[in-house]
Amino acid sequence: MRNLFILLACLSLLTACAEKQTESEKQVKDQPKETATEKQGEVVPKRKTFYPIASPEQMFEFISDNGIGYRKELINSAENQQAYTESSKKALNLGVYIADLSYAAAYQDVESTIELYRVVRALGSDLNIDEIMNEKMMKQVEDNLQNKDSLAMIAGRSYFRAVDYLEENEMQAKLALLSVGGWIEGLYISINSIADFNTNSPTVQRIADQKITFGNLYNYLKKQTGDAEVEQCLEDLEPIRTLFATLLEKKVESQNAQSEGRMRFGGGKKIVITEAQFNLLKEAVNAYRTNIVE
Amino acid sequence: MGSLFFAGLNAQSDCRYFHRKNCVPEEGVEMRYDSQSKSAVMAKGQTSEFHLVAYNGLDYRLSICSDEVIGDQIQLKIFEKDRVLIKPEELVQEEVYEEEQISNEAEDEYADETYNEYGDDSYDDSYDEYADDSYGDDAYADAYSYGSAEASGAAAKKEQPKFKLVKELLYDNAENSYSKSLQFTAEGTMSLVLEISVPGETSSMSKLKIKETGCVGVLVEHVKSQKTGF
Repeated sequence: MRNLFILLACLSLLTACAEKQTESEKQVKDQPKETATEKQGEVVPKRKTFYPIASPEQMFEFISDNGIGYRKELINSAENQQAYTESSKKALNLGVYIADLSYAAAYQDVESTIELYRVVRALGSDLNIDEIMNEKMMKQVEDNLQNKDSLAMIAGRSYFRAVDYLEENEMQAKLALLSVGGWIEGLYISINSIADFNTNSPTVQRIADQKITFGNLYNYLKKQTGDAEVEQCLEDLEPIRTLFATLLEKKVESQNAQSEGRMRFGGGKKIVITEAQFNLLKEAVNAYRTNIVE
Repeated sequence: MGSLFFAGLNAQSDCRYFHRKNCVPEEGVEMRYDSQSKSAVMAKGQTSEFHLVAYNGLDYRLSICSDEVIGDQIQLKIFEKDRVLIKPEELVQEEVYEEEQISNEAEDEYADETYNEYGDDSYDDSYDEYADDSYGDDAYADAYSYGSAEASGAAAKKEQPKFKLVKELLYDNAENSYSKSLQFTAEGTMSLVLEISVPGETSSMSKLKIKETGCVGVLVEHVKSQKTGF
């Protein structure tokens, strides 16, 4: 009962802070914003390309479903937020903290979830992403403290709001960095949650499969070259890219088939990862993640 | 009047959550929302590509939806994207996948001198039962292995493996009455390209002048595949 009172008190404090910001938020919202809206008569490329990267929430959903336990110590400390002054660090770590938020929510760590909502809101605000955590969402958190699925869903929304905002305002470089931060944190947590390497482990296989996801993320980053921060990010990702490149891709030989309205697509891949490669990948991911958060 | 029309166009163009609100999956197995889902503003005659990953062990459902102005006959093609080693003596017969930043030379995400799918370090035909045997002979491996390339310097650089991205068509809804829904299972993890085309004026130009735009949503859902049988 006492703990619940303390939590509610914290939420009230956060809500009060949110109310004070309402006036300034309103001023920002009233300003015309640049959008990606295409206008009639405008000449545009006939073909557009999108690389929607799965949110970190999906990775944690998967590892939780496969019996991987929670390790609170893997979360980036909230205190580190104070040290992020460069915009690239802020964008990368916003991705990291949103991933941490999804992780804490997926495992129903209520205390960390509350703390991380505060950090995500503050960092989002620093990057002028006001919609990342509004009053309505804070109220939803308050109402769903004991509901794991709802907490995870609300956490996921922070990610989508940030992505949508950055896309709509054509902040592609910041979006790229946020995506990298979120993806690397998901991989970092997953890879460090495995106590003993087992080639038959679905989580180990999902980590190996990130080779394909990384390929899409890398291509997306390459589309933003010209931005110095993204160029630096690409350079920093080289060791991870090199390691993924060594993972053998075994083609699954089967034919396409259809039955009862459902298709079965043959020809996918099994990405093979040895224990040695796993450990090297873990080293490279840990090093890059340290680079981001410290 | 002009500004009212323009305002109306802008309001329609806020497509952010269009797929969540409008793409209603056909009744069936309950699935989880997949965060690779996306909405986009599209113009008539325009094509959008969505690069997705379909993981082994999951069943997927795709649902397409669109603004009325876009029309009903949205074409959905699904391709598998793959990297294929180019044998120097081999004539390329397959369709070559041309993306903005990718040329026929080794310009994809893994194409540099450190990656050699068939090099000594990463290729072991003692267990690689799925490898294409036509690339597995020793002579070929010697010419293209990373070790050889490093030892021979500049001359070997010319012989470094080159890859091309190819895409194989897996599904075209034009052969299925432009159905807006599809369920599928991937055998093995796959790099997919969903190509969504809005009917409009056809031309070979790489750009087009917008006449009408609307929202198009791609809702992706997944669920763990059910094992059947003994």
